Amino acid sequence: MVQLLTANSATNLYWLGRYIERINGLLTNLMPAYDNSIDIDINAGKKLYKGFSIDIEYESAHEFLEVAMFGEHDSNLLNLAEYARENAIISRSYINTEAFGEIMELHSVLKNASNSYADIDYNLINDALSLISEIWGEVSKISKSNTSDHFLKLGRLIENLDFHLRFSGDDEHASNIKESINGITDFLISQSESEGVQTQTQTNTDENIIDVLHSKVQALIIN
Amino acid sequence: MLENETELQKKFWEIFSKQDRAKIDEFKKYMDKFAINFNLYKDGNFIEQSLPFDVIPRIIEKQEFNKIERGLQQRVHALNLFLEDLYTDAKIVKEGIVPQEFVEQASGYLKEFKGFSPSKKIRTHINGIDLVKDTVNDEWVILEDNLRVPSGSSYPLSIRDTYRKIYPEFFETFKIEPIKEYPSYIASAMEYVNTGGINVVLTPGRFNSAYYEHSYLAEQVGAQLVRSHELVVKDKKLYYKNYNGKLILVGAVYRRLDDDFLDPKFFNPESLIGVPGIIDVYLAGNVALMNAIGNGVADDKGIYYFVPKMIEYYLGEEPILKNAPTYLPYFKEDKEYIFNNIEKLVIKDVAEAGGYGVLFGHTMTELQLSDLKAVIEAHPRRFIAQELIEFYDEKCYLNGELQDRKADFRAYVVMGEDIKVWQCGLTRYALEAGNYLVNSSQGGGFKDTWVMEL
Repeated sequence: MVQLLTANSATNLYWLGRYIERINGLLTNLMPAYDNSIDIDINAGKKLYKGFSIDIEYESAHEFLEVAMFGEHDSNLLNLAEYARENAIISRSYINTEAFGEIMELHSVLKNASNSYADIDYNLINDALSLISEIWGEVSKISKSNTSDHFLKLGRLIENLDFHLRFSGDDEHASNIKESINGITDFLISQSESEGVQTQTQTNTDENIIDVLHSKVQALIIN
Repeated sequence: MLENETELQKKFWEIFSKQDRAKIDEFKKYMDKFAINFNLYKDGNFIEQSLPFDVIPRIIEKQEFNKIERGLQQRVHALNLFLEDLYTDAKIVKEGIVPQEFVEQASGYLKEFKGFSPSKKIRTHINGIDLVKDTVNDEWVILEDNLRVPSGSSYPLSIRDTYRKIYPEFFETFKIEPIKEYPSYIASAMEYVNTGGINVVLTPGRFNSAYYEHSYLAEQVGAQLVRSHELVVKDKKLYYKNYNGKLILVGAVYRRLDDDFLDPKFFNPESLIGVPGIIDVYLAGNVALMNAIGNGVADDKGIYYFVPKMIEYYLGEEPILKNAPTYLPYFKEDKEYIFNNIEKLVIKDVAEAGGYGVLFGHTMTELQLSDLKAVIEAHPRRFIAQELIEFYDEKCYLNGELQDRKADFRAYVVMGEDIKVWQCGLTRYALEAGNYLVNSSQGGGFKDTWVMEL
């Protein structure tokens, strides 16, 4: 039997995938920028954040980490972890228990660090990245992919594509990610149609591929 | 006052005292990570917090628990029969065992449902019965029946899971009753009363105080967790709305909201968390609601007085578990006793719950007692009085040292094809030494309960 899932849970799982992967992408990119800003190019961090369309100011490598992770901008890691935590709480019934625990811990690690700037260093980044690896590891343990896993994966892939397009361009790897996303959405559409449900047609013809794919996912969910 | 140490407790301490204290921190860390938090509103702010817990389990010998089990099965059986009778023939009222006036004044009595009998005539599906062990008679005594939406079962499940991971040696050494079956008790009961369709757990939503428990139990029970607007009523049938818009028939609802909020078309019209029209579906026999509507009359603090009489009336048996000695100012004789002994009694407001509205006569001034008597005189149905039960303390490891705290026990009883008593429960301890109020809303914590034998 096809797994049941409310529209609210589907939406929250999708965004959970996006936020966790966004934190992952930010942290992964922070490491080399931090390293470069120590003794090669103090502006390495500013250049990285330009890629996210965010202007940041700092005077040292350590300050770069503080501002990048917990500054007042859209990519504040604690805010992203709080969104992810909220998504996980709402869709808890569909998340592996261990993965849920790791998400709670990721939030806790970032929250503690945001309260004490002395704790912000490469160890924090490593710890957070390890937790994210564990989250994705736990999620991938499931032998049979349920509908809920597809929404989580869609979020992860779209975010992954966003990072790739920003920093590497629209290359073969980006095409592979797009193919995976389309594969999942096509599967979900055929699954709905086999249940006699007519799916909505996606109307977003925006040139931004991320917005187009996001609309495609939204069209799968009937609120 | 602590119970005399049993052989089992001695064995427990032998093992526990050899454990590395660092394991306690590990235990706490694990509990935080997989927390079953609860939410509350304080000064207008939404606060999410974990319930305090203790690592020392309460130990109840299997033989002792067997008696509790039989007593609870008997009690829940009688309470179910009472509700079914009350809402149909009402023989118990006609025969004067329970006064009609008393029933009609109970706020949980819903006369609009008179004549309706739910699926399989089961009304008390999931019950939380509160007990304490009396130090005078060394016996378990029933304090309260919770037959509407009893909460708290996820806490023992989560702490047991933690215990097994951090301290496996106890489970290797002792025969501790396993507890993982509890969700399957609920699932079986849901299947038994299901009118055809899927099972769902209805939650008021993310900001309800027990949302964590709702989502945890839904996952464990294998039912879909839903909010009201994810259910749709059509032609006196209830449907679950899938993410793709497909409607799927629902046969049983484990609802985690009170009667008043369940259906804005029938009860409180301002309820935003109810399902409009769900009562019509229920009355048409097209869905089972767990627990049934109108159960509040049976867990009314005043009706509690009559439960031993119900057991005798419906089952022809002596109650296995006793009530705390209770007096109703509604009866003249009882009122005289209450007024003559008020300084040593506990007075409870029947409209309150969660430890609120409980007054201890021995802590009140002459003037306060006199005022209280006047209120009781004016509203005799609003109060009950009970002898103060001295109940045992439990050892707790708090702030790095062993301390004694008063502790009660909430047992969970699930009624489906048969009546099952969970071989565990929620042991709650008071925040401060000597305090009798153990409710979480009063700052109390919880600990695991091991039903075991050597």
